[in-house]
Amino acid sequence: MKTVYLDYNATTPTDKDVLIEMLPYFDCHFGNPSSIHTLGQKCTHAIDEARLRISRLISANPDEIIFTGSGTEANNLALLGTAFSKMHKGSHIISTQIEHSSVYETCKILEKHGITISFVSPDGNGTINPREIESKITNKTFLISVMTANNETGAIQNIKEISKIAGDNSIIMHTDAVQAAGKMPLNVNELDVDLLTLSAHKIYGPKGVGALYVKRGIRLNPLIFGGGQEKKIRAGTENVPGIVGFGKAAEITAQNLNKNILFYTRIRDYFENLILLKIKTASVNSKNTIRVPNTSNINFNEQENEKLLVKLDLNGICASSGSACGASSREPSRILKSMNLPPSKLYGSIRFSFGLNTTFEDINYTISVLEKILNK
Amino acid sequence: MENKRIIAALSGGVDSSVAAAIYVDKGYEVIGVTLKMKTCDDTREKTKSCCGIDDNIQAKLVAEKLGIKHYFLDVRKEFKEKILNYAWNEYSSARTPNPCVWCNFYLKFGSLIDFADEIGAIGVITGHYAILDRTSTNSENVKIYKGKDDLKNQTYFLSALTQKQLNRSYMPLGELTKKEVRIMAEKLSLPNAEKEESQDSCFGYKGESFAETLARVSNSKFNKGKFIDANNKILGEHTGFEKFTIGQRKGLGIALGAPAYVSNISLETHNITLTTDKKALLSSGFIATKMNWLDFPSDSAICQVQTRYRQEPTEARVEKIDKSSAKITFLQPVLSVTPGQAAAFYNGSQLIAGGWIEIII
Repeated sequence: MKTVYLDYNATTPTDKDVLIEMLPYFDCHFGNPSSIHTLGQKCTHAIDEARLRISRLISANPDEIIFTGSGTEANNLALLGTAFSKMHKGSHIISTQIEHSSVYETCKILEKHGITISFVSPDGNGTINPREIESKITNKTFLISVMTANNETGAIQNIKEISKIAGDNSIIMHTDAVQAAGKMPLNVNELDVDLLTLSAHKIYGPKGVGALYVKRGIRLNPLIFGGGQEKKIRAGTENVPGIVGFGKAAEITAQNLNKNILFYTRIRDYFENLILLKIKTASVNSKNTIRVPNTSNINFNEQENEKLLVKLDLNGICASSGSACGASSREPSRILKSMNLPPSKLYGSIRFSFGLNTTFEDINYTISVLEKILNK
Repeated sequence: MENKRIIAALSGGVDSSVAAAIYVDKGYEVIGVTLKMKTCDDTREKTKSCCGIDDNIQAKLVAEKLGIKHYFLDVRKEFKEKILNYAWNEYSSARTPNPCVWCNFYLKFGSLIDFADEIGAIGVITGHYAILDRTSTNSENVKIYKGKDDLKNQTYFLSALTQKQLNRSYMPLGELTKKEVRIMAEKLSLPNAEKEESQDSCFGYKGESFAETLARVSNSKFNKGKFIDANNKILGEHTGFEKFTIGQRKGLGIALGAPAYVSNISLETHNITLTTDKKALLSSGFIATKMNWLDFPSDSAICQVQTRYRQEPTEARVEKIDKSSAKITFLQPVLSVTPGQAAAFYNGSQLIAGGWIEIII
């Protein structure tokens, strides 16, 4: 039975060219970048090259890129690093109900340590209203964190507008761009953000490496101490192969961005048109807002999504829903709940996210399986 | 083409793992499913991890070893309502619950069989030590017998399963002893061959009795009262009538010069009657409700009744009162028959009915 992978927002396969770029750094150019000798310095150069490539993806300066072990770690660094550095100036953060758990849970931890957090809810399309962010500002607010694009619905947020509000009030602006990279143009100058998170394994790079853009002049307290790597902001011997891979993935992504966006749009539109035609109970969540072009969150009206996912898997189709934990759950996702959807739409929503290897045959097969499962 | 898709209920323990392996070996398309029963935010776990994840990981490892697909089924809501709330309500009514019996009825052979229907599987495999006989040519109905291993016989806990449920159940360990099962697990290099059993892994908390755990998760308080004797003389105090059961000897905290037993728990006064005379614990019979008639011969018959786990079944006359109740009269009086407990009825080694002890006679 063939496998049809439609869960690219969860992770992507590592591009063959990325893998080729990485391999020499495992056993050939294996040095520690902190070493003085040439073997080590070769790796420093490799890292610098990767830094440059990633900075180009978001129109930043290379020295504004800090490498971490994951997008989650980068989000933690952004929030905790700012909080610990700014706490004397304020004790309030504004974020949203639609954030990834690495932002949301970190905020909850800060709450336990005496920082007040305002979690703004989105509208029924999963979009955050900048005016609502603005309404929460107090003289104690020191950080605003709003994701660029949501991982479940694909809804793109109005970061530019929110950044302006932050800037006007001298508040630091962070955006988690993990799900946006590779699916829309990202320019830190246009977005006007101070901090931005990226993750390699969402853009056909390897797992185990992320990056935080830190605008020149922004101070962060480190979370991991030791040998002073990454300008003393993130200690630890650099994951050279991972970082090299990340850099290559970023370069390929930047090169093919427009082409990929067109491709995703075609595939996603084909999928949504066909599914609405063939399955009467299906509807598209976040239909009426701008979304990244590869994400399709479909509601099947009161189906139990975990059972639906199992049935899909038994037919070789990989998709997901916003489950709260690894061991599966019937609870609707926090994101969908915050959109105030009616009960019939809360349950039975499945996220399909397409990638560069997705074919129209995959879509046809998926829809026919769904028909078989649902039109019983 | 014969449908060979079947669900294996995997707890992460040795028994269910070997049961699954047996059907994989027979060439079935086995799909491992683990029931998710605990809430994620519970921090006082005996395994020091969330949602019993150690067992969950074991289940996944077993599935991987056997080369089968594995999923979780979220039954936390049903577990809370049908098992936890039920158990606390029983304790609060001065009765002693039997949650494992209902767990089999509602979850392992309830939710899992429903799930089997959804994915087109013929039924559910479990690691219970019971023998299911499908060879009867008269009917489609499966007969259930005690397992070969006396010490491990679990048919008592299966006594609430209806005929419909039994017809969809598969229990390959019935003819084996626990020792043989462990040897099989080792031969298969199953990751949990050395492990302890996973009974109560759904509900074990360090340093707490079952009743204490229930009180805590339902945010309830215990009702204190007095220990009294048969003449209403006060013997001492207790910290909650819900914590005690008929016939209980240990943990009374009272020294009466001779072993003392709980002979009565009063819902009205919250007092617990103690006796040093074991004869006071005898009863000549009981009324059973929620009867589950499986292969019962007629409206009245003599058979063997088991009134609690790990008790030898005793001869009794069972008379149907109506389709859901019966009057049971023991041939010899029985000690500590407890309201709220399950009753299992046997004809030799065959389980022929199940029911619940309602009123002691």
